[in-house]
Amino acid sequence: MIVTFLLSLILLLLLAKVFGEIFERFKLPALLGEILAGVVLGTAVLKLITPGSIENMAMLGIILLLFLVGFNFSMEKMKQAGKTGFFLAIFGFLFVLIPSYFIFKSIGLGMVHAIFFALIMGGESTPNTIKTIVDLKRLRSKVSEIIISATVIEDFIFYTILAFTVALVGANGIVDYGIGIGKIVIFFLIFIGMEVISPYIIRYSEHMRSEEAQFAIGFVLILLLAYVADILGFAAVVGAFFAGIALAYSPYLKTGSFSPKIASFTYGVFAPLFFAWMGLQIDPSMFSLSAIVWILIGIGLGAKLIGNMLGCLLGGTSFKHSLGVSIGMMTRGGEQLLILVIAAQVLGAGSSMFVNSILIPVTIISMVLTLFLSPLLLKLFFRTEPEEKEEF
Amino acid sequence: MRHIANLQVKNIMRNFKTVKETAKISEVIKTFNSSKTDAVAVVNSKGKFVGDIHQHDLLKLLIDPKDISWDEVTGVFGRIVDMGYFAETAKDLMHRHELTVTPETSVREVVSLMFKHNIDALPVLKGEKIVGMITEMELLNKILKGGKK
Repeated sequence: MIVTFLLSLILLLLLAKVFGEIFERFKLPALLGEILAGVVLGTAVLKLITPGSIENMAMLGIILLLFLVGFNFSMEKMKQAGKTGFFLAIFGFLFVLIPSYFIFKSIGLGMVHAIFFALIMGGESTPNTIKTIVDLKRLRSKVSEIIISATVIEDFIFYTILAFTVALVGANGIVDYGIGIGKIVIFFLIFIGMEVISPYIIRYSEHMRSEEAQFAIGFVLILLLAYVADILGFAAVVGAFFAGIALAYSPYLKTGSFSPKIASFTYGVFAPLFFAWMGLQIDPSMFSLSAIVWILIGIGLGAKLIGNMLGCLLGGTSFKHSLGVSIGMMTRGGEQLLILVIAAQVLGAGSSMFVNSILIPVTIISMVLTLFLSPLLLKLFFRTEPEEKEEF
Repeated sequence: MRHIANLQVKNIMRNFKTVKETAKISEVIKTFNSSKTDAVAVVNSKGKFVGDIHQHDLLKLLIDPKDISWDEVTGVFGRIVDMGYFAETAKDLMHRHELTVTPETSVREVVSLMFKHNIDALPVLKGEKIVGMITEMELLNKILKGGKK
């Protein structure tokens, strides 16, 4: 058994890194290459590795990724984002939620499906946008400043909505408000408890002499909140995100080598395995490109663009800059894939048609479309803005 | 020489330099040039300590982000842009130090912190006010001089 497992890991990690490198060289996100590695080795092509064989490692990858997002969450940046960031997140979400709800209702689906759809299509993943902005030498522009700070507040709002949604939805996709609200209260009490107690635990561990004791304790605390979140019926990743926020209050972890160590093995091993694991599960035969898929892509991209424009304008940003921010925040990527996985897990087998025939194609096509569309539109937009000169 | 470990930070810390967080990189370089220190403290407009810059952080200015993984610059999801690679001001380049020491902290404790957490410099704070910086270079100088002042 261990031999098969090790061989699966070797093949998957090696191919994921090779494909990731090729994609990076072609200025495409490495994670797309990593997913492709999974597609080649999995159900779709060679059928060499089954998703179940590395599922736990992939889950650890997603937990650590989300921990890092939470750990780097900063109140200062959240304040910087101010009302523009807040309106951007709320309107980006609501403008996708409302029309999609009516479409889903017409095909017999409910509000929960619309919420997951809005969490995927109302959010964005910005590494590529920032890469384009850096290439165009506009990193100091107002547009770039808003994009960078707004994503922080959006993460907080989206993961809170995600936590609430997951808590309110029972195992069979049935909404139960009584139990759900109880779970939310318990989870946030535990989260606050961890935020208060963990600095003391970490401070105590500073005096422990066994090898990497503090690192192990920090790691255990991440897993603990992920575990608590999962047994309460939330997704473990939601727990990991909030564990990140809680542990960031410990000076020893914030300043020391804890987060670089976690980042090393997450970015080096676990995150590529997670994206490759996603690829292992993609079965082209399930891919449907029905009219509804294209309608939802249109709504996802269009409504989000309008919602963001409105959010920026209400936050006091000029029309021109609002347009630039909205174009920059069109891109979909890793974070959307992550919510996709949570949606599949929470909604269960009863919604596999919804996930396979709607969510997966809509997310992947939107990712690829915006990957090319957003940089192109940003280049056009920044034509009117002066280029930055190097100071150093 | 081991008696150095029992000294307090206030016994060995020297004059330190501060720069404002809005200071241009050229000003930061000038500060390093005009002093013998290997780390400067960064303060905000109210004079409150907000971070520090170590000499070797300046090397980051020579790195082209295109030569390294983009994930290192923005994180996988693009949520944390490391402005150090594009630094124009002290704020972009500085480390935010949550770990600080007081003038009464022992050198033994300081070295232990530096060793365990891979830190080259620690700010010395009295309340919220910065009163010094203790750096690896200073400690090494002390050891090399056999603990003499």
